[in-house]
Amino acid sequence: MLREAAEGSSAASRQALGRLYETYWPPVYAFVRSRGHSPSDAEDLTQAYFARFLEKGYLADFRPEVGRFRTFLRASVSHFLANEWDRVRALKRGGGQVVLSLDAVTAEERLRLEPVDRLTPEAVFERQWAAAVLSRCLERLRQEQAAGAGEGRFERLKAFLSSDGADAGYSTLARELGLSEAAARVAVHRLRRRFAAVLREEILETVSDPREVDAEIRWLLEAVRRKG
Amino acid sequence: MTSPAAKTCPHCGASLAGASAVEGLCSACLLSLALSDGRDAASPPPGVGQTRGRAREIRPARPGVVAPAWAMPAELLRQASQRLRLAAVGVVLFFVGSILLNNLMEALDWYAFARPALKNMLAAVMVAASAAVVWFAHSGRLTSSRLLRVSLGYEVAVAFAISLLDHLEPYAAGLPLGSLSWLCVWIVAFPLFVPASPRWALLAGLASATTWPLAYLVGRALGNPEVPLRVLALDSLENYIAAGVALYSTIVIRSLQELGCYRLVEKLDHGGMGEIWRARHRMLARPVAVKLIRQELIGVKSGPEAAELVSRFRREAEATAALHSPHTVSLHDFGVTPEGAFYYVMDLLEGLDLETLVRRFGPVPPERAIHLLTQACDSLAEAHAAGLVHRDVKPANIVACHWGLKWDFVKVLDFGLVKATWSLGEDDRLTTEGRISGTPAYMAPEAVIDPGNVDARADLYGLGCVAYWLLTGERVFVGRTPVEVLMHQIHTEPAPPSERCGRALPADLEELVLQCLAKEPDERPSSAERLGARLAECQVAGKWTPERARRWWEASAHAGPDGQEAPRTAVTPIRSL
Repeated sequence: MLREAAEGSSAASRQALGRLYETYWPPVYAFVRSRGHSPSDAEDLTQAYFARFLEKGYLADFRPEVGRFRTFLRASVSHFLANEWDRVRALKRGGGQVVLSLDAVTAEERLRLEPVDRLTPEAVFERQWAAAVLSRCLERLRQEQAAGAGEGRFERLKAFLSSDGADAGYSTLARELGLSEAAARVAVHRLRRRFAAVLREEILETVSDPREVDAEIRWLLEAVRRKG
Repeated sequence: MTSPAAKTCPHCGASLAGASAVEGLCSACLLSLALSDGRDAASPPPGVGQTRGRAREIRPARPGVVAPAWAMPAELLRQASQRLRLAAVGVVLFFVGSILLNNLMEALDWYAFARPALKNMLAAVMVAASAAVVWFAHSGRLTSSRLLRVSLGYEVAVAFAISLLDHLEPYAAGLPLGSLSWLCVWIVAFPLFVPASPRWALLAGLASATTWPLAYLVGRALGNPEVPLRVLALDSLENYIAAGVALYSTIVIRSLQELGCYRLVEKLDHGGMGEIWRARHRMLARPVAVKLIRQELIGVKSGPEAAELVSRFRREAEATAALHSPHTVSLHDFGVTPEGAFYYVMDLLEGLDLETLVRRFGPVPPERAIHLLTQACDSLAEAHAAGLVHRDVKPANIVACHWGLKWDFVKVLDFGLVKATWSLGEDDRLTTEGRISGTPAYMAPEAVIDPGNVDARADLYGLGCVAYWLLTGERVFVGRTPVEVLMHQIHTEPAPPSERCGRALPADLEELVLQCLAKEPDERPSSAERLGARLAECQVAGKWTPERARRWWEASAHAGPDGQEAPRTAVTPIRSL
């Protein structure tokens, strides 16, 4: 997605830029909120940040060989907050800005569940980043499956992605999908493999070297397990 | 099993608050799935073939590509079940007939078959297997793509049964290719009933042909006499020829797909969202271009979203079809296939788009640029009057073609369809919520800053960029990334075209081009009609005569400066694949 956004053909790049906003809106919003801004200010600032991201071509400054996109984005938001907050506050709310997709309600709901008081803004950002990447993977998988086996089937299988079902769970699943239990297990197994492949693809986009994918996954694992 | 309401993950014990859970699933378990060494991985359920310990390396698929399971046209896939049932019923009849006939001949002492009991048993097994296939195909328990996979296995199984029936009798070699065996008939006929992709049809055909020598070995094991290898090889040849014929018929069948009144002849192009086909009207035999846009590839789901999409698609197509300028590509027909794919039927153009024209032959003389741009203005003026904004005016969307007796006849493509095609589904939000829309190198500043609020003058900016490309062979702004180009569109004043190309250009034309490229929409020509009129007032206007145009196309008919093929190539009329 990043490569497409930065270098791809025009159609691909504009789609990729759109996806980029959608994917990384929540972590940026969470980071801004964790820095003590109110929900409405955080909304404005996040919007202003992404507008500036486009106008000033922040993506052009990203050098994969220097660091990961996650680190780049966090530093970039941090820099933006340090330098632009006064200017943005001076502007009429939303005036002069590109209107971007605001998923602030969802982002706020998600953030509300975080133990904000025990986590640093950076830690909140990392956790939300992991969630954003995983959400995007699930959405990709959902679209793939909708094109093939159907979305309803995916929604049933999805519940088995993160953990083993008890035998009773598989038998229920098999009954609901009209499959044998063995076939249901195979379907879950295939979905897991595909999810893993999609996740690795997504993470590969944000690191400079394919060999860093595992390290990045472990890093994100630590981030989501962090209790503050 | 994890549920959204759970506080901790039953698998790893992690809290499921906030970002620790995504869609109710444990984030840590999801992340662990993708670790290549399997550490922490939520291991696959037992009994499904996953190796414990070090997991197999997962090779990522090509990003963004949803690989179709069977790479078959949807229409053929839809018919797969019905066709397979038909084939299986035919097989049942064949084997039942064979049992009855053989036993009747035995009873009447007309013929003494070798191993009649074995033959009866084999035929009975095939009848049962075919009946099972009929039931499976009818029950809908398998998806169409899986059913096709099963059908190829079935093809090989029946081929093996036929070969065995042949070889349960002592080998009777006739003249090589002297008569066709039932196996040949089966190999050729099966793809006619149940077409697969050419590759798989060939594989299944070859496997079926190979059952014949295998069955010979079975016959030998049962005590049949040995046959010289050359005789066996020559007798096997016809089966492999049949596999080749089956491949050919598969390719022909795929090329004979129909869409409404149109027969799809040849795929011209394909992209992320769909395919473009050269097609012919069934009754009129008129060549047209058909673009198929598959809903699933533009991220559209079912239900109200899809219904709204179809409705919007229809409105946009109707608006486009209402345009009458001869310089707007004609939309002859549009619709939605039973599988939910949109299709547009448009002129199939013979010519070159301006992107390719300049890329292949270099910048054009000012008088020719005026000739081309004036016609594009005619097209845009009508559309703007009808309230349509193109939003993606660029050289690739303007075609100089051979139209009737005219050369360098301009057709503007993708009118109104830009919004209805790539903006559909998730991208629709990109447009309506004011995010990026268009091609960076040709986007007006206001389209970048406030995309939800562009008007016809954004198209004039695009046309200015096209003029720049025609005169200089270069983009107005270049950058390492699309975002950098967009920044230039907003902030940087363009260099005069003559400065960029290093040759003198008519001052009036150059001034007009720079006026089109003004950052403020108010400073651009007020309308496409006005721009066309001012282009016609330029000193060199009218110097690109029909005769010069004809001579240019004839002179360029065989090879361009880069030695590429003649420019008279079919142009797909919708480019934003």
